[in-house]
Amino acid sequence: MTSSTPILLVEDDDNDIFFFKRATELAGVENPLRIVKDGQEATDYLEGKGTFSDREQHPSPGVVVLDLNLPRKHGLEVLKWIRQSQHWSTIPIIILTSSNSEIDVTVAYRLGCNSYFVKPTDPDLLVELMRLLKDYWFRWCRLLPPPSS
Amino acid sequence: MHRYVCERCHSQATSENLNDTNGYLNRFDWRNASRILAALSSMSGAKTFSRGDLRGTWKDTAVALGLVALGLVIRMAMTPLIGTDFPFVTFFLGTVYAAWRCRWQASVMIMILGWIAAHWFFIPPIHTLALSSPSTWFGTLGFFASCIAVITLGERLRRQNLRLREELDERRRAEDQLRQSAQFPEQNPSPVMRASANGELLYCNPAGRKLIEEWKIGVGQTIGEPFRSWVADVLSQKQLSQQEQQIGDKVYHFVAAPFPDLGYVNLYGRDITKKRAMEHVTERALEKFHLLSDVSSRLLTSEDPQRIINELCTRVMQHLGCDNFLNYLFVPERHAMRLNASAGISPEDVRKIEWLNIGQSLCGRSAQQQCPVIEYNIQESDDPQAATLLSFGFKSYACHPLMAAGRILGTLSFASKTRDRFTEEELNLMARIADQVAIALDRIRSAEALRNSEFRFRAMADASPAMIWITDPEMRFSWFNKAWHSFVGTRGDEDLREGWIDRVHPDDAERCRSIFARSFEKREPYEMEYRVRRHDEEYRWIFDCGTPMADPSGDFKGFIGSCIDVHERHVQRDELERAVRERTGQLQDSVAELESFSYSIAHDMRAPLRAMHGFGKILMQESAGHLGEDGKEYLRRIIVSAQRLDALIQDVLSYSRIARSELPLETVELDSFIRDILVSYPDFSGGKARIEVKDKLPSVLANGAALTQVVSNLLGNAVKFVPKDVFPQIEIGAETEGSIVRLSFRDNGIGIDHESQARIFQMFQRLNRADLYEGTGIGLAIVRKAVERMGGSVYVESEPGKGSIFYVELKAAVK
Repeated sequence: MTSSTPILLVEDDDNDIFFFKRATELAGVENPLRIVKDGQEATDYLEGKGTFSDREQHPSPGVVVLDLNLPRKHGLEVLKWIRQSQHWSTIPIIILTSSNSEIDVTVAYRLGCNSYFVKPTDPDLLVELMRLLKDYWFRWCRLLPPPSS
Repeated sequence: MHRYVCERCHSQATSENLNDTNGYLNRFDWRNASRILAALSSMSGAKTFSRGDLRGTWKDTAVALGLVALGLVIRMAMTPLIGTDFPFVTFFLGTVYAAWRCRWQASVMIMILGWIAAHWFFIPPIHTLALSSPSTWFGTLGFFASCIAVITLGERLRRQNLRLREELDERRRAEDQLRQSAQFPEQNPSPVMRASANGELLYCNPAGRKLIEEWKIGVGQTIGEPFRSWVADVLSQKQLSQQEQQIGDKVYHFVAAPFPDLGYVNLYGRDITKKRAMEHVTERALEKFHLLSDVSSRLLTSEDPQRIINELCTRVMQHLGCDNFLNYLFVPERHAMRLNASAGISPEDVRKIEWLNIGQSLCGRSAQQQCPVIEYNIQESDDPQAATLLSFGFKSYACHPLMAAGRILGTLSFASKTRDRFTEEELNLMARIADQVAIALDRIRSAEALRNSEFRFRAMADASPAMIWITDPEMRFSWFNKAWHSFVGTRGDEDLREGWIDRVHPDDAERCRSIFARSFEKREPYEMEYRVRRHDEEYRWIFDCGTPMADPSGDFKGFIGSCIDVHERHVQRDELERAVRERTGQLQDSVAELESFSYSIAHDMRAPLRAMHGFGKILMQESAGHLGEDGKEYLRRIIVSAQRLDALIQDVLSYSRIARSELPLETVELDSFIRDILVSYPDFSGGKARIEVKDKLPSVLANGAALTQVVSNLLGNAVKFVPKDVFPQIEIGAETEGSIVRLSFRDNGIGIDHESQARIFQMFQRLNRADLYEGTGIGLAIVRKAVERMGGSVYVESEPGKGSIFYVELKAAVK
């Protein structure tokens, strides 16, 4: 994945968006961040529907960072939709949520997420996590190119 | 004079009397002689010995089998008339016949085969040899007792007759001698006489001369009547004749051989006194035998033996030559005896002695002592208890108690006004008759008791509102009480015996049949509910409980059960269960909603906390320079408070998860499980603490996630709660005690005082200041909840300053 391939962050909490943005910057993640604030927007973005139909403005993401407790469409529904989608079934999905529930963890992995992280309370730990993710996903991991729309 | 010796009998004859004898022989009519011998043969009673023809094992066996078959056929032919009553009657008669005609082995064979045949064909339950009721027992005992009595008597009689036969054989030989000696009348030990047509005695041998001394006549004189007429008749009819004559105390058998041409009759006499005496004895024995047989048979087959005692005892009394008999029966309610039957006493006297106390008079004494009382010479007796008998004019008296199974039923006594004593044989007969009467009375009383018991049970069962039923040992319904009939609308048991299952609701029939059959097979009680079609065609729920029945000897006799209509209760219960299910569902929904709500609140509370903590920390890192010392302190407190609140929320969430989640138990190998935890938790390894696992830990039944929480919380506490400057040292061990594994965590921490040990497992219980030891007060509550949910327990042993040992008891894994 090149550094220009965007990361799609699906997060409804502005504070968490702030911490995430701050953490990616401090961690040195260069990939652009595309943010949608609910589950429905996430699927619309990936489908290129409505306001997201312009791929120049809303390019296909290389990784999805997904919260679970989302308005309109729950994060697990979004995950299921992605894995059942013909285009996006192979895209890496990282769950970043405040839920520590074993059921959520189990269901998320069964539906096909690649990693499940509980949001750390300490912003420094989030930075540390982002560094790890950057090294793993954007440096070492061999990913498929984003599907063309 | 020459002397001759007979080669056969060594009798001697002189030449003189031989000449005379030769003359006699010369005149002897040999045709007449053969008739004389035939007459002598008939005198020996050849007819009596014809039964000897039946002797011999094979013949006896054939007769026995034949009699059993005949008895079976006759009894079967009688079945339409008498049903299953008197099942033994024909076989008993067959036994009597065989006892009379054959050896005892044949009689025993008939008795046994007869019993089997009677049981198999005529005693319910048919086609089984089981003794299913007390009445069957008594019938069997009565049959065997009677048969054995008859066989014993028959055998005794047969042996007596055998002896008689031997004696008569001897007599035959003697007759041979007589025939021989007929040629030598002078040597003949029996009287030989010759009389003319007018009765003049022409000749007498020595034995004859001795005989006529009784008549006080001599040779040449005329014999008296009826001999004189008899001689004249024989001569006129010219036919051989014979007759018996009592002469003195002896009985003689005379054969008169006429010689019409010569005008005289030869009379050959023979002393048959002993033979007649023996015949008399035999007749008496036979009479006794028939009497006993008849009494046994009548008592055995009578439905009311008490009623026929009078008739039977009168016969016995006559046989014994007694004048009186008294039969008393014991009346338990009055503890006294009442006269049941008597003979030879006036009605007035009967009224006087109608009731007799136990111990009163000789009968009362016999009943009291339960042994025979025999009194002779009553006229001379000074026994006050014999006074009544004396007033009746009795000379001898014998009373036998009527006993059955050790109980006194009454007495039977015979008395004579003329005889001084009873013979041993007569007393023996009285005892036997008393035994027979006792057996019959006991049988009838037992049957009556059974009938009364049955009647009481049925009356009680019919009065019961519960529906009661009974089956036989073959699982066939044999009886239903009135409640059953009125419930299902039937009249007789026949309607229900086979078709009861048709009345069970089709949805319940198979289950009902299966439970019933299984309980029956295992002979175990059962309880079940099913629907039965009532008389108005409505299916009603009934509660049915059945239990096996056994007789006193423990033999299985079927099932008895009762049913009650529980339709309303059942419907109400169904309604209640449905309401409970509905309410439980609602409650579960509410609880789930509440839990979800609580979880969401707790979860959503963490987001702003995280923001507070995050922004506080960023502020501290990036803008601390713009804050004064107080500002920095306030900011630090905000951050710490947010952290504590977050920890508290996380612990509450953990507790909630442990309390409401399913915790399926599985085998957990503690050894590897705890070692994995130690490796994966950074706080428990390296330089932060020394944790040692003693030996190899066993396996337990636990939930992995919950056990992880338990172990990590306990270890976390052990590492955390240590004095300053003390390096945490923890020792983990386990011991197995039966099916329990006791896991222990020994630490070198600050310890817990005894008073606080009980409350540390409760929620929000903190023993130390937050500034010294951080904590939410929920960790041990989570431990207790998790352990209890896994079926175990947790407790602590500790002293302040000496560390603590936390014990967790869990079920050992099944190997």
